[in-house]
Amino acid sequence: MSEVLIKVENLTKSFGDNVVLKDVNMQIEKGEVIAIIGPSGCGKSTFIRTLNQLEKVSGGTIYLDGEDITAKGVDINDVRRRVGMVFQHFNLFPHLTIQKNLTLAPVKLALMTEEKANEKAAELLERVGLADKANAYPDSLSGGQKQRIAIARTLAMNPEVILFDEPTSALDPEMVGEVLNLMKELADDGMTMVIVTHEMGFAREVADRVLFFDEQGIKEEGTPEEVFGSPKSQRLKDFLSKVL
Amino acid sequence: MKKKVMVLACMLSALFIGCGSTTQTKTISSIDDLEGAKIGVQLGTIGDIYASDYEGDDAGTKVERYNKNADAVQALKQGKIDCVIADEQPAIACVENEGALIILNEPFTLEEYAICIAKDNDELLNQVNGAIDELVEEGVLDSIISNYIGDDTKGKFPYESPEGLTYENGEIVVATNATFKPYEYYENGEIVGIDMDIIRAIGDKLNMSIKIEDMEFDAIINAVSSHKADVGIAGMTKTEEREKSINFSKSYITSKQVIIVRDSSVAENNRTFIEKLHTNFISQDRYSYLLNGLKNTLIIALCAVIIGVMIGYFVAIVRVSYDKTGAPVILNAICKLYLTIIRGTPMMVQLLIIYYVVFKSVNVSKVLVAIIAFAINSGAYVAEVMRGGIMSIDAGQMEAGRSLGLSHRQTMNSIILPQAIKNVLPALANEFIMLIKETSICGYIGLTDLTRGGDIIRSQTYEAFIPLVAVALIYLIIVEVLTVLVGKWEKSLRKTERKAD
Repeated sequence: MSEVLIKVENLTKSFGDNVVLKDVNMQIEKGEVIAIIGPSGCGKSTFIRTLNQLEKVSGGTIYLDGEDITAKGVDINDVRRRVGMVFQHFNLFPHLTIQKNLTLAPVKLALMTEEKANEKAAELLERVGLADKANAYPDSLSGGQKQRIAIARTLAMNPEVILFDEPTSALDPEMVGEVLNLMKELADDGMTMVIVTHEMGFAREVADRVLFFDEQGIKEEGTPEEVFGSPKSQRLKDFLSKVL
Repeated sequence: MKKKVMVLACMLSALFIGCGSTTQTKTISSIDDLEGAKIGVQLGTIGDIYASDYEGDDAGTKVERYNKNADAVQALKQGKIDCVIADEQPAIACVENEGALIILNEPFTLEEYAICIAKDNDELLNQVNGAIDELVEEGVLDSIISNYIGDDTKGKFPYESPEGLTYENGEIVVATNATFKPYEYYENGEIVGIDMDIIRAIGDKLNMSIKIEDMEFDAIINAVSSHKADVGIAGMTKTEEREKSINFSKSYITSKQVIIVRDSSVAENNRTFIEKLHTNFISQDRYSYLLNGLKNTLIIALCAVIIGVMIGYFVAIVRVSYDKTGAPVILNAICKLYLTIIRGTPMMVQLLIIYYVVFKSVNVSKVLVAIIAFAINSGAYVAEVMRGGIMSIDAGQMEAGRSLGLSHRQTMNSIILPQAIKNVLPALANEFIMLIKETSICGYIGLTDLTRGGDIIRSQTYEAFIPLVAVALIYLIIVEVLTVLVGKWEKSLRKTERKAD
């Protein structure tokens, strides 16, 4: 029996009069890798950003380990420590060295001593293959390297789940591979991941489940074989024919 | 750098050349000639009040009002005005130094000098009047006056407090304007003169000690009526106009208003530049006015900029967080009001309000008042600079910080602000530079800053160029040093960021 990590019930999100998500229901199990695909502007990014409350929901409930994280009075900073996020534009801290980028949050939040955090950072940099960049500044790195550091920065917090918001969309094509490889390794290690992506090949290969978002919510979902192999709705067929 | 050297050279050459303007002038040889003339006076003095009667007449008389007699005299020497109406003794004192000026034999008016005391302070008024009566009776008053006026008696009767006197009745705070030889003026860094001796003698009679506050002449009545000072004594004449806002004691001396004009028969005495330098800085240790002023200027500017940055930081955070989240509403409204008021009114008015209104009945040091005023002012500008800096940082930085579990404040302090400050450093340095120069208005609350230090020298030497240029040079040097330091700091910030490995 696998455990449910995140459960979303009747999630609604609107910006003013514009309803972006309506009555979304889904759940994510521990260790599961979920790919979210769909046309631009369909609410994929908004959805993933509600999972760590970077976007406040307009209605509905999100549970993390059974705790309602949309409730009033929830320690939102604690939730975010457990839910990592990797952004399309990396968002590394340009005024800090790579090592500091990794250790800032754990040390500030008193989760680790500085010494311990440095050790952990060295370990993670080794893992993402950038051990020699510890004292460099983000400006001196390539896009692919930056995104690998951003992933390492998230890992430094020992999150229970990592949200990826189009992690390769801002990269030059030749750098996409190095980032996807790293993500695949994470998936193989059993990390729970939610990935908004346009890399259909990657989704097909790595994801346990694929969600197709279109017009305010999930229109179709299933295993990669089901979604890519035998799409049911016309919308998904149209979408796949455009991107594949 | 070349440009700066050239500017310096220009200023220096201006020093040597002096100002030889030859505008149309009118020769004044009697009171009747005043009609149609350009008359110089010190603002708020009796000379000003009488000269104003001529102003706007058919003959086109003009009155030029200066902050100091010395400025008026300087203008007269340069031909900008035709005559100066001033009190007799100060006029004699300044003509002594200037061969090219004379005093007309015919006095303009006779005046009664008196001490001013707040309307609601009859007790002190009666005490002072009683003391004056006693001093007249004992001949002390005459001996004080003769110690300063009269070639035979000058310096022979210095006033000494009676021995064994105690000051159990407290302190009298005395407002004066020490640019008025021989009534009140600076000598070796101390304010001395007839008025000072008289008030000391009165204090001795009342068993009260004396604390002297030097300020602009036109600020004295204000200071006394707002209880910043207990009495004002500055060769001040009783007039009906003044008696509306203040009470006057008995008159303690009778003086004349006289007219100073250029003496066409005497060529200006040409002292060498070195001699002038000596008079302005070396003799009587006059350079110490500049040093003291410089010390105050630096203390005020430095403290004000530190507090100002703290205020600005706080206001910027409130404003930014309101823009992003809509809270805190009330605090944001207060901050906005603060910005509107401070940026919408002149610094000098703010300084005067803080000194005369806010700290009306509280006796605090003027340096502290100035620091508070300039910090509040600077804070408003820093706030907007900082807000701009914070807004220039990509929203993704805040999101990244928050997504790692850092609080809004932690993200602000360790991620947004370090980047924002680097971006706004040039603007902040600019603000500091402006602040340093703006402290030059401190003289308005009688605080000796650098500018006023130069003014004191001017009031003693009746020389405009050397003290003014010296003051300008000192400001220039401070600002230059600062600019270089900030430049280095900025460079080092950028360097660390570009370092590859």
